[in-house]
Amino acid sequence: MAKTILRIFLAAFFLLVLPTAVSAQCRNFTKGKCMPELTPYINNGQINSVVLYAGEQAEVEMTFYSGQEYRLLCCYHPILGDNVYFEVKDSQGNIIFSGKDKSNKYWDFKVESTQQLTVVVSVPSEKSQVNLPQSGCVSVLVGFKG
Amino acid sequence: MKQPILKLDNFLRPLIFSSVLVLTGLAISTTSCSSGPDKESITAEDREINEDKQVRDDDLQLAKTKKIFYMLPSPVEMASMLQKAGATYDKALLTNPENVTKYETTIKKSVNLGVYGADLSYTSIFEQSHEIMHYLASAKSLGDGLGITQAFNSEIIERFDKNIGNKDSILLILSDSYWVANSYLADADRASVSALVIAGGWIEGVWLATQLYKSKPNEDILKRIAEQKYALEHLNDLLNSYGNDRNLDEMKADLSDIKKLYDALDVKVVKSQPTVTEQNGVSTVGGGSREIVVTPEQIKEITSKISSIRNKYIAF
Repeated sequence: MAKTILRIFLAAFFLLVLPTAVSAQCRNFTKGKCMPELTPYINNGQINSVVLYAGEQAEVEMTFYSGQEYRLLCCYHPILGDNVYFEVKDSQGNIIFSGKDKSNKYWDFKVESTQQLTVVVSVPSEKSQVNLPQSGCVSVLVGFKG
Repeated sequence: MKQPILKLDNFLRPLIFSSVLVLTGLAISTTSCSSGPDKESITAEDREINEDKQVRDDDLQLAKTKKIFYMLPSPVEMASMLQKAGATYDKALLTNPENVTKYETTIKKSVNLGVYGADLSYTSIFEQSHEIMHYLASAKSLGDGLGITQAFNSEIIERFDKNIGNKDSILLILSDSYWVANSYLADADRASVSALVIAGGWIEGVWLATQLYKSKPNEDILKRIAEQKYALEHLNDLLNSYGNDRNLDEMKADLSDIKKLYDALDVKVVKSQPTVTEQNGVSTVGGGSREIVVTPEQIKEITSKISSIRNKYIAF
């Protein structure tokens, strides 16, 4: 009986508590390090952050409205290296922006007509000095001009 | 032969094993998601542990894509778009700020926090200083009732007070509060409450748009109402992402009614190669547009349906 309870406790701890703690840290990172970089754009108030490992991608479909000016910002922890980048694709899969090999981590833009665009964030698969796949917080933030 | 103290069954063994990997991930991300030390601080002990785990960790290095986010216009952005579309301020459309104390259930409080947040955004965009403080007090009251005291704490209220008259600052503070509220709810494992707040904000935003269009028809506002087809799809995905949460069942059913109306709208796709031009550091994306067509009958149906949903939730 005691063993069963211990098993349930361990399973609940590892499956429920740990992922929540990691996500909370990622949100704190986003608030402290990433949101200031949106200035002077107004953040859209939504939480778009996730912990990614090297070799992983995150994808989000977003609607951008005509008449608005946006800043799309990809912010990530330095432990992931310098090569994290994002690309923006239109509904037909055409790449309309690529941050690959560019130093700035944001894109300021407008759309002539309202569009659904897909933002893909990629963490290149690089080995660290300890030959360990790194993980770190990646946030995609959207700001607009009021 | 001596038996192990804790014999793992076939189910639990992989579970514990994968949990060890999660724990390893936590150890790494504890460093990576804070302003603390990074690569250089990895110790020899870490290295030893890491080498042991190397083969298993390699399994995590898969080129996979996570679809993680659901994007809707925030109440502030919705109000901003309506103003740019030519909408005017109409106090009579707003909820009564005195009613907040009458909501008792978590569902009502959550949805109405979104509703009052949208009204607060609308008053802020149109710089109605007196109303801003009323709706701020209402939002604070509902937030406190839900245990979200951080979103409208005394510091935030003071910032609002000091910046009344400075629209840009007010909008920034408001958006920050919205973020803090969502973040707190996610941290507290109450993301379904956050989803209801978001749904309430969306409902009020669309309701305001439809009423403003009804009183003074305007093609630009009509376009914004039609474009909420995309937002509704994202909202629907967001609510469904929580699985069977009974707090969300009612909202899901209500939104499915209006989704049927939005699904019936005709979308004209203009396929063309995208163009990107840049001026003063700001790119403009052209080409590949989609126009959503709304007939007069359809806008009437959407107006009626969003009104009935809104009225249901603001009733006490």
